[in-house]
Amino acid sequence: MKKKISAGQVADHAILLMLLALMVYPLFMAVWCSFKSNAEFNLSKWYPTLPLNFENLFYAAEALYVFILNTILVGGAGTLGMLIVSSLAAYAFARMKFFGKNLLFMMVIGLMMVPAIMTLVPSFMLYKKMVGTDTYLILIIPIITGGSVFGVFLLKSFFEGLSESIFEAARIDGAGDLTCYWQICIRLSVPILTTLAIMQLSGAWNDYIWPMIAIPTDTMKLTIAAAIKKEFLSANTGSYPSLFAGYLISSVPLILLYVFANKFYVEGLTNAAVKF
Amino acid sequence: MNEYYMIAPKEKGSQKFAKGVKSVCKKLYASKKAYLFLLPLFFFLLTFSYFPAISGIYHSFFDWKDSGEATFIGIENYKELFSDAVVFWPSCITLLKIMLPKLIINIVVPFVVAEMIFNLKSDKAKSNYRLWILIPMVAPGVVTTLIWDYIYDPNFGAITAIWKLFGGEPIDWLNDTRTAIPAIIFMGFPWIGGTNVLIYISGLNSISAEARESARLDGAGTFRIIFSIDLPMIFGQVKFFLINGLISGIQDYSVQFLLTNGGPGYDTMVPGYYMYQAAFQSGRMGYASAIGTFLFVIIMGLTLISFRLGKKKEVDA
Repeated sequence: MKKKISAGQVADHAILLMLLALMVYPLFMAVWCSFKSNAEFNLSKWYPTLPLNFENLFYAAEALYVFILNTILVGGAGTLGMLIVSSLAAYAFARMKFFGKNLLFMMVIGLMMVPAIMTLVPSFMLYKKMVGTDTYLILIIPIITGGSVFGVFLLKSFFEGLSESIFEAARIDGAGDLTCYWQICIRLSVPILTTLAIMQLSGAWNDYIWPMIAIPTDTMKLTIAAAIKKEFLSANTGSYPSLFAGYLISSVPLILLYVFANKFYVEGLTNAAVKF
Repeated sequence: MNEYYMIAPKEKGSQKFAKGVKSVCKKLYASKKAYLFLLPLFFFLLTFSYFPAISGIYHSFFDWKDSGEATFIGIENYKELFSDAVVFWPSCITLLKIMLPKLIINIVVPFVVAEMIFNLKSDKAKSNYRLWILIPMVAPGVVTTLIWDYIYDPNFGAITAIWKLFGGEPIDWLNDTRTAIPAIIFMGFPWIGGTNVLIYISGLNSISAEARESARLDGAGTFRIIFSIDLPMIFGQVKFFLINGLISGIQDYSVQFLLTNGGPGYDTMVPGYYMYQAAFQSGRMGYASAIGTFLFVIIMGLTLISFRLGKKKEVDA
């Protein structure tokens, strides 16, 4: 039997498809323009053409790979640090009893009310004095610190949800808190840790204001988003195909995450939106 | 606290300690293991979150130089800020002009699209659309903004091309007093990419199908259902987008930073970017801290109001 398709449904699909087309058109245009030479770009920028021209992409990859490696280093180290710091604390908050628990937890959660814009200037002054500008540490520490508040919040409720009987069994076998933390909590929370890590990594990938402030002179230490603005843009003024190729190259890791870790990536994004 | 002593066997001798300070010390000592777990977190939070926040408020009363040198000047920074009718107060107006329309757009448009996807009959189509909606997120924010800069390019851009089709003179959209603010608001058209649509859809999914079905049997049309059932039920999400949008909107100066530099003139200047310039272009850290503190007070006020509203109904976006 053939399902009857109502006019309403057809219109619904048509409008949605049109909106999505409008939404992705600028991005897709940037993608196909990065495969054009300058001459082709001037003739036919509104639609894709053959042959594909890979020169721009090779050029952009060569110009940007250092910054991509920087971002992986900085984002990776910061994310790892954040995961360790916040999972340890979340374990204490969720599964240990201690004096001043509520107060300490309020101190963590209260930081969600301190807006980033307020601490930008004093943070810069502090980091400048403590770790110095133009270092990797000035990029890594803020990732650990900034991410851990939400990390504790998310992991605490996850660790609390684990069944007490697992922990009892482990304790009878003589397991201490460190063993419980590592063997039970961390092992069982790999998916949520992955989601958290992806959130944090894409945050590091997107950030440009802090890296541009923190790395004023040694530009080879910039992260990718900052490098696009500070280095790549001025080096390629007016040459849109090379610029678009750079944009495409800088998006590749996020595209890979979207394709290969879609579930975690989507969860990470929605979590980031719920983050308060 | 009693059950707590049972799992802390080292506490056997606690009887001989009187109440008061000593017992607090004892409790602290008994909790040492937990404190070790918390130590790394609190090291980072106290040093790199609490300290700068307090330092910012403190130094807003100082002439704080780039070099770190600070001289106490009382409320001079605030006096200067609040009497600045050339840049600061107009920048607050500009912020409202940019932020409020964007806020409304980002609440209404994703809701309409979420309803459109939710009301599709085919589940496969639904999940496909949900995947497509997220595609713009794979480009870093800086790239998206720069692509919009290209769209507004007075020589090559798409907007200019369409404008010329209708016989308009070329306009430098982001650099023209008449068009700069509307152009910033229009950025991101059709404003549906990202997570808002997905959050709405998950809200709609949590509404019981029975309520919807019985309304339909009673002869309610799709629009009637949207207004009488869906809207009240997803009020939590709306409120969340509203408050979150306000808080992040006040702090946002990415377009100014990347494209307009607050110009033409001071037409697109917002307080956040004014703070950035004061600190990192003029080296006036104290003055910038005063602006930061002012924004903090505003955001804090909004957050407290939202908590009060939130007590009536939990936000579970």
